Amino acid sequence: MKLSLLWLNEWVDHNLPPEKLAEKLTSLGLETKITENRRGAYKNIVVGKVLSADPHPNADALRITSVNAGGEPLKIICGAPNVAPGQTVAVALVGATLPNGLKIEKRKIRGEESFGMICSESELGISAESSGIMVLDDGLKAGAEIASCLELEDVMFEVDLTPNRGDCLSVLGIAREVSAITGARLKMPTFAEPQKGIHGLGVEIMDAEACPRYTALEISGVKIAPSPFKIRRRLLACGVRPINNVVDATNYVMLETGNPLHAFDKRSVSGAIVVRAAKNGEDFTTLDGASFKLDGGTALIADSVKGLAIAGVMGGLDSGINADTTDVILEAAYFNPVRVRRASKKTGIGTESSYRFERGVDPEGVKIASLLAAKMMAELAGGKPGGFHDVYPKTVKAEAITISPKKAGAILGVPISEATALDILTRLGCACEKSGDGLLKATPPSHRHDLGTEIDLVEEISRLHGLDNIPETTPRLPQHESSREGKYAKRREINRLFVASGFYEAINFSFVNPAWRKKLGLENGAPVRMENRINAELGELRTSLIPGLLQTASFNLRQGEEKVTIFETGAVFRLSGGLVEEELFTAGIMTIGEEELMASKLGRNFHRLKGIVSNVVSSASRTAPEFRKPVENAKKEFLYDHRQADIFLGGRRVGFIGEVHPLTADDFDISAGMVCFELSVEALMAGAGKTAKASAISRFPGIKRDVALVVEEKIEVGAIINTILETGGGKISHCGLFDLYQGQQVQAGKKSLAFRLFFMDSEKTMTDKDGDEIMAALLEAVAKKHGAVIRG
Amino acid sequence: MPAENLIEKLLSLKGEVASVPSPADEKELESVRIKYLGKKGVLSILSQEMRSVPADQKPEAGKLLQEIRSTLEGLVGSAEIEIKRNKVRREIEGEFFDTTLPSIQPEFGSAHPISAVMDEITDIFSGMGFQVEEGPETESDLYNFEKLNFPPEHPARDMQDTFHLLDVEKILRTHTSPVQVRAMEKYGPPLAVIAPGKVYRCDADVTHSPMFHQIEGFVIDKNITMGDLKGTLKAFATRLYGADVKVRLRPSFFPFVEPGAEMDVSCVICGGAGCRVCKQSGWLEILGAGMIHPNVLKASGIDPDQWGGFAFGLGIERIAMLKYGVDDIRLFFENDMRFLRQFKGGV
Repeated sequence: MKLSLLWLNEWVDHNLPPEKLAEKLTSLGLETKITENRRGAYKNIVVGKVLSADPHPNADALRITSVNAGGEPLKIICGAPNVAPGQTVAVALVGATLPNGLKIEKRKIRGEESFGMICSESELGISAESSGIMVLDDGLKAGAEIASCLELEDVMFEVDLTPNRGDCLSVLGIAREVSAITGARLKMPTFAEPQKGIHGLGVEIMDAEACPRYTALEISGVKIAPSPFKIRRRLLACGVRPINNVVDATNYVMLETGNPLHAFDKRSVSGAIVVRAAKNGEDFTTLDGASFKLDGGTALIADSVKGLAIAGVMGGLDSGINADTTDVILEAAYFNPVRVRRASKKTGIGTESSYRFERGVDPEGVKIASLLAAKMMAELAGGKPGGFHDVYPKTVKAEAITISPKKAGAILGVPISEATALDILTRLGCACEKSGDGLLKATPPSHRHDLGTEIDLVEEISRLHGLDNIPETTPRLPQHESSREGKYAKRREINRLFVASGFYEAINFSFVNPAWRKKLGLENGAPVRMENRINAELGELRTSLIPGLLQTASFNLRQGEEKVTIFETGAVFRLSGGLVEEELFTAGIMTIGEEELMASKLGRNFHRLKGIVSNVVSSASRTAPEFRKPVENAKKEFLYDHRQADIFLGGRRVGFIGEVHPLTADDFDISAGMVCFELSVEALMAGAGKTAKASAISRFPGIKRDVALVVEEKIEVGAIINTILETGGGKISHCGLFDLYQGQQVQAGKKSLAFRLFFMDSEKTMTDKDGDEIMAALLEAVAKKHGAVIRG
Repeated sequence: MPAENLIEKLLSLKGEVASVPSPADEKELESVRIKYLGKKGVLSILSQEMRSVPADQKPEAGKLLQEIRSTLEGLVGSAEIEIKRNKVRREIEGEFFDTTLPSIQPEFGSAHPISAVMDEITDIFSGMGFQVEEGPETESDLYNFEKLNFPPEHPARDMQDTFHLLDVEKILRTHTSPVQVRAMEKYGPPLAVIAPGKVYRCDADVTHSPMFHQIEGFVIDKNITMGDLKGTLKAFATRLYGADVKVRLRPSFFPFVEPGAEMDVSCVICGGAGCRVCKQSGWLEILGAGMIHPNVLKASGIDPDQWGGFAFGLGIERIAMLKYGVDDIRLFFENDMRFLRQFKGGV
């Protein structure tokens, strides 16, 4: 909310400098910043009377004027098309500096000397208007300081209000807070009791829930015209567009008191004014010409035949103030915040009025607001107030709250005496009384809808007492069971392992484009769709981390990266039985640099990644994973047909690994040979908490043997290694492949596998004879199972 | 007098040997060795003469012989070592070695800066004794709003632009605060929890991302005060920003706490003098906090007359942006390797 210091000062006596005021308000929870300080910005800018305006001999667009600025007439060159003799204008004298920083000096313009400048509104920093000079009220005296005449030396603040403080959405609201913190007097206007409207207009509330109080004040004989400068400036400074004197009066008083008002042209009202719920589907056109079919619950201000306004939101097209309006019905009311909010949400209309009603206006302030506006309409438009209809069947009354200052002190951690509590609450406008046992009974003022319970008052006490005055203490925290093996810790462990393996962590959005999933042929459960989106494409939650990583890889390759090695750990979402299942996954993708293209041709990137994943899984779950060929119909479409495997942990499928299918690579605009994996973090946690058990190390020397076997090329090495290890009866402590050969040296369709074996016995020293026995058994087994023969 | 003769010879040899210079290279060394210690060397010849020495003089001659031998062996031995070492020194001496050649690095990646900051903050709090809890990212209105004292149709809900889901009565959580309620329901009081995680709001510009990260923390116990909140947050700020950091609390509003506050720290860029980042104020807002609202305790099955607590929540991205000097939040989620690589090796 924008706040004018000059306006505020009309409502509260305080002598705080602007910076101090902003600091005080901020310390009260009303975050306030100075946005503009115009103090001293209008020196040497005065009122002038244009005596003459003659053509410039050297420029068609310029005029040579003579201006009375209080002394000798000044010669001023002026380029504004609207300058004319007889005008009262703002003159920046030589030596003045305009708010935009322009220094006024004596200068020659196309050969003619000029001693000052006649200003436009924009040059004075009042509005954006720059098409001509600003023409002032003729009543102003030549030579008078413009700042005091036009009330320009203002300071503007931006007050950032939290939604609970609807009572501060006005000059009065802020003035109340200033008064509470400084003790300065609040300058409330007083009015004589208005004449009761008994005859003529009828006012009826049919929907009392929506409208606890409705007032209508009849004002006759207004003459519609623009408002005077001071009013327009204040409205503009607060971000409200001036319209005419009557409408401006309603807006002005709203900004001033926080009570929104509405003016109807009396001619448009047939019969009584009724506040009722709209009929379901009732047609209504707002004053900006938009048509609505209203909802049944929307509160409507209507007459006997039609709707006049959506209560608290916006007036109707046909009932507003026109240039020829003479008689006005001025509405001031208290509407139910929830009903206004609903109407505003349903229609999509948010106004200064609905904003305030939603946050709760002062039901008791309704009358003062109405009378203030009536007074303005009288002054500005010559309107004569008539009958005041005030329908307020049941007073909106705050309940008294019992508060224990001692308890307040216990919550805040600083002692609060009864006297302190009493003083603070009274300053905030609560009616307080002592109720024995050290308790207070406080009835909040009608503008504080946010005060309903004891804790609300504790907060008030903390605000006014000052949060700075609460000493810092250190609590002794309750003990808890260690969560070190929790999901968060596991995620961190996995992330660290991947980082150590050369991967960069990425964080992608959880929402994805459904097209990505379709491109990949991902069918892992139904996706969760989003109702509203950040952009049209990102319409569902991810069911896999892979699409996001492919996008990220593609993005990076387009940026010129040669090698992309990224991983991500995050939740994926699936719809299952009407519920959302969330599971934490980790996934990665690896591209290759130029030098590794050869490896890619052999599919060795698969094995490189497999090694990394194997390390991470073994380390994180304390169990070595198995990589199994997926069964034919469980193959992933987006992976290279034969270069993919399922990852198993303790007999359970926990993820997959594979090389991205060349066609998918094309779809996502990434290079060939990329390999990726995805794993369930939760599945890895199954083994968490398992402690490794140490077993004795053999003290007896072992022996090393190498063997080369020739087998059919389609026999899997993994199977042969398994066979070898099984045959050893626990005496083969190591079996590693150190060479794989296909070529001239072996028969076509066959391959040679060279293994290094290590034999070990925990009971005794391995002899060559022992080795020969193991070797023989092993060769027999691989021959039988895999058709392997020793390479000759 | 062959015996006297031998002793004399040995004595004169002893004198000679004492003044043999240490051989400077292998050639000299070899000639010394051959001359004195070789098969036909001086010592060998004199040893043979020992046979003809009378018995009473044998000990003296033997002792002299032994002395000379060990002197020579010492001389030869140490010269041998010295020559070898000199040879290595000479080899290395002239070498040109360029330490500025690019390193041969083992491949090493990096944690995402958001993860790094989140872990750093989580560690600070778990070090104080908070336990880590996480909650679902898809939440119900009940946990995200109602139990946190956001009445239905209250303007406070406008503070958070919510993503709604189709097919299920769920939303994407707009803050990590629902974990408060979930943890209270799960464990009951007393409790001290820190809850890091992703949150979502339908809003995007240079300082707002539709997905971002928060850390929620809260303590429930008997006799917890707002002073405890201040002390805990001060300790946190000190560990994050160092002992010189100043903090202040300003009253603010969040439906689930009352009294509510926001915490500012003295600007980490200018130290409080005023700069572009703190908009000349000298302060940076880094978190929201307050005393847990009695309605939240009640909604979580905890008696507010018995127990009380404080809660706080902070946005990771904001802290990371300040820490790393990132001025566009979108950089965090583009995952450009050129950006990520900057956080390699210790963030």
